[in-house]
Amino acid sequence: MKVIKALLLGSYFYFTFLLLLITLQYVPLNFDVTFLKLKQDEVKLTYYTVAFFTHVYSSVFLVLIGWIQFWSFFRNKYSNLHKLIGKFYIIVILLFSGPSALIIGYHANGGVVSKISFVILSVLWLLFTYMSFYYAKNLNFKAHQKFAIRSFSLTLSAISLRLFKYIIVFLFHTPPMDTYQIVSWLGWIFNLIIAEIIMIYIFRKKNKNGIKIK
Amino acid sequence: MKKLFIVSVVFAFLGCKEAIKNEVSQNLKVDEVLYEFEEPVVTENLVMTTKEDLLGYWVGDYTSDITPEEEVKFKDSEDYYEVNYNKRISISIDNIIDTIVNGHSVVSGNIRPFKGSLVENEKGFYFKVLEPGDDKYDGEFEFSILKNDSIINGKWQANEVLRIDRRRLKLYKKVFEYNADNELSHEYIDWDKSKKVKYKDVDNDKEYEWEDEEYFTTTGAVLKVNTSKDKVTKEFAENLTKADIFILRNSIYARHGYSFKNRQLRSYFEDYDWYMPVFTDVKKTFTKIEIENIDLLLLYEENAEEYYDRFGR
Repeated sequence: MKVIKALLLGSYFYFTFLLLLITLQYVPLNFDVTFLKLKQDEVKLTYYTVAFFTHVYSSVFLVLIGWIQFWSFFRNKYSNLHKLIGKFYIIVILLFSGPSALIIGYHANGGVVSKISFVILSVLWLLFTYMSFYYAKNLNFKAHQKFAIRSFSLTLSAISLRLFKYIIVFLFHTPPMDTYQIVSWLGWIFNLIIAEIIMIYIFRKKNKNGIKIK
Repeated sequence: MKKLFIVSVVFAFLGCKEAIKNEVSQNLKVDEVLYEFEEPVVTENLVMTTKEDLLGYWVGDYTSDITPEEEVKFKDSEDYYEVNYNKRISISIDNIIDTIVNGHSVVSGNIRPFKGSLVENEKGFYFKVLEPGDDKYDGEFEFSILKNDSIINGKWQANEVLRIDRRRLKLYKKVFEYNADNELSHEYIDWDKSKKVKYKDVDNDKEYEWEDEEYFTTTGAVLKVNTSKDKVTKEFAENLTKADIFILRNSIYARHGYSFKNRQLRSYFEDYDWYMPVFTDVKKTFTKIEIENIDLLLLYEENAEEYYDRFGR
């Protein structure tokens, strides 16, 4: 169990690092780089460019700090910091990353198939994040935890989407846009399923008939 | 926790930038010795009366001239490179100065220059030309054409001992004509560009493992569009593989008679009757729709190369 945990965490840091590298491709502000080269029509729309860079620059922090919130030692010992980081996470999603994701999702490559997927993803992301905040405010920590896990699982779709793309291309050599349409759905639905499984596991272990057992 | 940190740092440096992006671009394999030829001034006369009429591009069959007894001798030879008895040859006579002839031939995508002499008498024109001689497959051509005739007949003799060291040739003069209707009809495989792939399979509870080469090939998508006539849409371009884009883009050059510097491209387009590798620069002759298509395809070609099989953008 320890080994698996270490491996998972190790790969999490590795892929977070890769996300950071991806973000750095867009620093300094550059309209003629990688992804945007293929979005010449959208780049002409000011609101799209603003949303795109807001999303790129803000989202990477969520992945960078998100893991701390799930570390129970840290949560218990520095609960003030947990609250502070949590507020930061929620503000970034609700005001910056989330709304901008909705806008760029509406303009996504791959036609209606991936547009619908990304729009649903953005809406759920905003919703779960807000719910997590709402239940924390109401001191319903079980519900808070559930929605925090769901929210973060969607945050991690930034990694899983790219990882699925890599795996699918490696195994099946599917054409680029077909691959993109597949991972646009697979990337976050897979994460949500894993999140639900994790929740079943966590809450079964801790509580039996509402009584905490050890 | 410390261990974890170390593990992740090691991970990070293992992959680094190559993991998200192909940093090293796979450049085309260009001929080691680039042969630059002088584009001949071609007359449209298909019947030969003067030396000037000879200039230009000749195509035809290039067939083995060895006897059945000699064939038997090489039966166990491992040299499959030479197994093709009937090939096509293109010969370009680039310039004629008095009795000196310069030109080049294209066979199976291989481009070789030649130089030699031309004798003219009342009956016809007689060529004797030599290839440079620094290649195993170099040799000597002898061909001739009667005056007021339109067919070149001749032979080729290799310098070295080869499985097929003699060939006959019969050539017709072909005048280049641009035609946007020329279509691609088959897929492309680059036998020079491959990567090793391991496969695993289970059969009767036994596990098999084998290695295979995976070649740079196009999909059927290249047959769906004519890049000289149809405007390539964004939606179409974004679902193409790198090889698809590469061939679609280069098919524009091919239609304009570009002599590719890359052997694989030459041998692919050589399969088309309409293809003539006669020009060294064709950019000025592109139509508006072709320029637009090339610009769009280049964009996606770069992206497909850098990100297709990588973690991402």
